[in-house]
Order: sequence, then structure tokens, then C-alpha cells
Amino acid sequence: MADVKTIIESLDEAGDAAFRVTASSLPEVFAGCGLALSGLILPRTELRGVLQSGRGAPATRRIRLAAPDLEALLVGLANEIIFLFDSQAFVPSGFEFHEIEQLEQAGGAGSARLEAEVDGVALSEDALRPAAGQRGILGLVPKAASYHMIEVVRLANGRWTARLVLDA
Amino acid sequence: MSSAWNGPLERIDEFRWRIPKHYKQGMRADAVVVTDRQGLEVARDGEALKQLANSACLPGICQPALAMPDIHSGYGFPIGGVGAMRLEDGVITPGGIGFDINCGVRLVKTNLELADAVPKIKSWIDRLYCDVPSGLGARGPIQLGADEVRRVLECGAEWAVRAGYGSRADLECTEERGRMEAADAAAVSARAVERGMPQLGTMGSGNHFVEIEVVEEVLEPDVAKIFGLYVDQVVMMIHTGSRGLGHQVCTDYLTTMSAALKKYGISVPDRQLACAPFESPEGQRYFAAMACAANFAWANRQCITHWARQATAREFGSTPESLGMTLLYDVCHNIAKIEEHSVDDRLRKLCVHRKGATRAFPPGHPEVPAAYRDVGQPVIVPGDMGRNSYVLVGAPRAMEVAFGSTCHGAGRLMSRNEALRARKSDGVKQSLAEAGIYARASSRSSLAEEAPQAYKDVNDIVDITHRAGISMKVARLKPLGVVKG
Repeated sequence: MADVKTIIESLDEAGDAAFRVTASSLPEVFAGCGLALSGLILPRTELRGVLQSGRGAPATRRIRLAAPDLEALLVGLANEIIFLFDSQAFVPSGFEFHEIEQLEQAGGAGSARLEAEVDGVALSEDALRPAAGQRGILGLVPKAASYHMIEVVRLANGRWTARLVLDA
Repeated sequence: MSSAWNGPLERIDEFRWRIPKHYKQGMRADAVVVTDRQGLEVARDGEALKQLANSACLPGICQPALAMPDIHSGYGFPIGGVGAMRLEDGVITPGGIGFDINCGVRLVKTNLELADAVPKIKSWIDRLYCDVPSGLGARGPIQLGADEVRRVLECGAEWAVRAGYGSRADLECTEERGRMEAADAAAVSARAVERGMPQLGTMGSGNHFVEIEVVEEVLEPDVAKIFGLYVDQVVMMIHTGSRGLGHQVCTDYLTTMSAALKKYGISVPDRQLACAPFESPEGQRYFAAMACAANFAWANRQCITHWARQATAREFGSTPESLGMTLLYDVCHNIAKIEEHSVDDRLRKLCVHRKGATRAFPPGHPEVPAAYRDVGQPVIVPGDMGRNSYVLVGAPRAMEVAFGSTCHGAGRLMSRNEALRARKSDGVKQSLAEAGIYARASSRSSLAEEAPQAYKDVNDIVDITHRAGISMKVARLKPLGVVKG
């Protein structure tokens, strides 16, 4: 889970959604990015109300991903979250990473992989589309995560930071 | 987060500015922005011109890489980018097309006039909101199995017409007649198909909309007459694309193309420009998948048109036929097509990438529907919710300087965050109401994100395309009401 030391900043990028996450470990940075994206789709302030009103039910999903590097792994995680919402109306509320690592291979090539248990909420139809007179609760579902200005780096102080831009 | 452009911009003429090929290592062609001096200053801000120069680095690009006057930052190509690649040694790149493959816009005419629409605009928009599924995660009344989605992918708008969601006449007035023959559903992933299953006939969110407009002024009467447009006429504009299916196709093939870079020894200045030779297995497979997503988008707009027609007929106690609800035209914004263009004084087949740009073929072009061939292809340019939209017509100069292309809209000025900070949705709704425009939206923030102030003024953009001669103004439209995703 992302702890209190995780810092999530919204960034201005014309037409789109972007954020930077800084945390003390790689799993926390990835969790922070996942939560930042989930918060765009369903603002955190709406989560409790959704569960209380029966417009969503608690649910869990497992994510396994592999990619050539950490940047591609982060893009993959964000695209997985978008896919889970688009296909199953699932919005994450917490991430537990069982594995997240970058492997160095011979010749300078690398690979990265992650495995995570994701807690969240599966939204009902009426949460997706408010009836006349009802206030909409959803925010923004990006089309996809991009490589534009992407960054996943370890800072000199040992903390990790990531920047992700989403095509909205 | 972005920096301003400080590289060279050489004036070619009043409306064209060149970043020369020697500007940076790797550029294989000049890059040219079609705009005026004022538009150039706006374009300097952000990453757009850097992205335009990057697009000129792609193998096989024909001179020049281009950007239209609504240029702004994108991913890979800038929005407003046009890149024409040779088939024999050129590449195809998802970054030159975008995530929302065949995002596009169509205009449906009616025989209603302003006085008919104004008293009913609120109930008409409310009815459209109810009958046209919109918003995040929206699921439409058409629930398809995977096999049927694959048929849609290969048949496009024709699938919708066969299923009763329109007429043959609609196909005649759609680019490619609503179906790219290169489509091969086997090239589309199961995941993309899964995303498409509940989404056919849904508008989605973001900048997508169904808008009721009135023809405020006719600027080219002879062409307007052939297009069937006249002052005070009420029309309906529909803007959407290939939904999650298209986004997934782009995502899938960015991964494929990233791996292909190494295989084919291609180096690109931006990961988002990952590409493969057009004639390679990866290039051909992506082109087939992209064509599928394009077909899905045409079928999507066709189904939405059907529901919009039905909703309008119920609102006015009539039928779509009696209300004259015929399609003027349907144009794509994000697509790659094989087209013939003159290069070095000879006709060549090219893979023309348009990302946030519209085809604008001139009079006499064989791809222009017979009904319009004497005057040129209709070009539909949406503005923002509070200002004008336009119907333009393609012109010969577009073929000479822009691979038959023009602008696609107003172009964003503000990020979504900036727009949200500047305005709340309720405030935007109120401002629009004061201007006589009734707005209805699914998501809590889309009105604020899409506020008029978040965009450039489309009047300035089309003024440039008109004066540059790449597409000429035919009619100016004014919004009356809008359903936003």
C-alpha cells in the first residue's frame, strides 16, 4: 500500500492528465501511480459513498505483467487499470505488490516484471451513468498511458520517483 | 512541464513555416507548420514543434512532415500532424495515428429551422442524453459477442446499415464508404475485442459529443447549396471514435512496434514513435488492425446517428425521413490511408498518417462522393461548446502543400487540470446557458475540462486554412445544445 510518505503531484500537460509520484520504494511508487490513475476515474472522496449506496461492491483482481524496462512496466500497469475499468467497471483502491523487479541481462538488455493483488470496487451500471437529476460520480478515464516524458528513476537520496502522462 | 520551442522557423510564405531538415540529426525531411504568424506564437509553446521535428525523422517520410494550424502537443506526432510515408521504404507508426483510431465527426442535416428547435432544445438534448449512451464505461444497447464484433471490424458502417442502423445513402457520404478493406480481424487482440463488445453505439467521454447547431451564416452559397445547407437550418454534429477497442489496438501495437525497432534497425527520437516498415509483417498487421478499429469507429458513429435520428423523431412527433435527417458527410481525424499524391512530379502511392487532421480533397478527386465531386469534399470542423463550428470544402492547394489535409478542430490551449482550476462544471453550464446553449454531461468534470476557454478559437483556425487555400469556408454553425460524454 502507498504510505503517507508517498507524494502524488498533478502535472499540467495540454489536453491530458499527468502526475509525478515520489515514494521510498519502487512498489510504493507504482502503487502511488495506480492510485493516482484510479483517483482520476473515481475520485477517492466518492469511494465510500459508492460502497454505502450499493453502487459498487468490493472486489479484488490480480495483475501480472512483464516488460522490457521499468518505464514500459509502469505504462503496462496503467493500461491494465484502464482495461479493468473499461471491461469490468473495476476501480482499484489499494495495491499490494508481491513482486516488482528489474532484471539486468547480458548485453545491457533488461526486463522488468510485477505481480500485484489489487483491492477495489466493481461499479454497478447506475454508477457508470447517472439518471436524470443525479450527480455524476466518475471523473476521467484516460484512453491509454503514453511514453511521453515518462520517467521511473531512483533518486540520490534512495527514494524513487515516476512521471506518467495519460492520453485523455 | 513543457518548454517553449527555441529552434529555427523559416518563413516560406504567409502561411507556411519551416523547420529545416538540418536542424537536428536524424531528420529526413523538412517539417512545415501551416499557420500564420500569430498561430506560430501559440504553437511555440509546449512540445508540439519538437514532436513535429521528430516526426520528420521517420524512415521513408516524404517531404515535408506537416502540421495543421490547430497543432498542439500530442504523443509521437503532434496533434494536427500529417506524415506521408513511401510504401516501399517507409514506416507505419501508431504514434502518427493516435490512441483513438478514426476519432471523427459527422454532420446530420435536418429540415428544422431555428424557431422549431429553440423551444424544444432542453427536452431534445435530454432525450439525446438518454438515448445515446455516453460517459465513462458506458455500455450500449447493442451487446455483441466476440464473433459479431469481428464482423463489425471487417464490415464497418456497412454492418450497421445491414443491421438497420442507417441507409446506403449514409455510406455514400462517409470517407471510404465507412469500410477500409485492409481490415483483418485476426490482427486484433482478444482484449481489444472484449473492450469493443459492450461499446458499439456509445459516445464515450472526454471531448466526444452530440451537438445541435444552427447554420448561422453561409459563406460560400454555391457550395452550400450543393451541400444542402442554408441559414437558420438546424443540424446535428456527432463526434466520437473507436472507443476502448481502438485504444487497445494502439496500445497493443506500440508494444509490437517497440520490439520491431530493434529487428529492423530503426532508431526513433521518441518511444511513442515506435514503428515498423509498412511492408513488414508487423507493419501490415498493424495496418490491418488499425483498419479494423477505423471500421469499428464508423459503425459506432452510424449506430449513434440512428439513435439520434430516432430520438429527434420522437421529440418532434415525426420520422427521420420527414425531418430530412440526411448525412452531409463523415470525416476521420486519426487514421493512416493509402492515397495517391504527386511527389517530385510523379504520382505515388503513400501511407498518409493524419493525427488530429482531416482529409480535404479538392473538386474532381475520385474519392469525393459523386454528389460533391464538382465542388470538393465536405470538411467538418468542430469548435468548442461555446463558439462556432464550421463546414469547409477541400481545395486544390491542400493537394499541393498538405497531402490533401486540413485542420480538425480548434486545438487545446489548456490542460485538463488548468481548465478544472479555472472553471467548475456548474459555472460552465451556467455560462453556456447565458449564451443560449443547453449542456448535459455524464461525468462530473467534463464540462469544466471542455470549457470554451480550454480551446483556441476555431474561427482563427479556419480563417488560416481558408486564407492558406487548403480548405475554404462554406458555412458557420452556432451551438444550441450539447450532450457531452
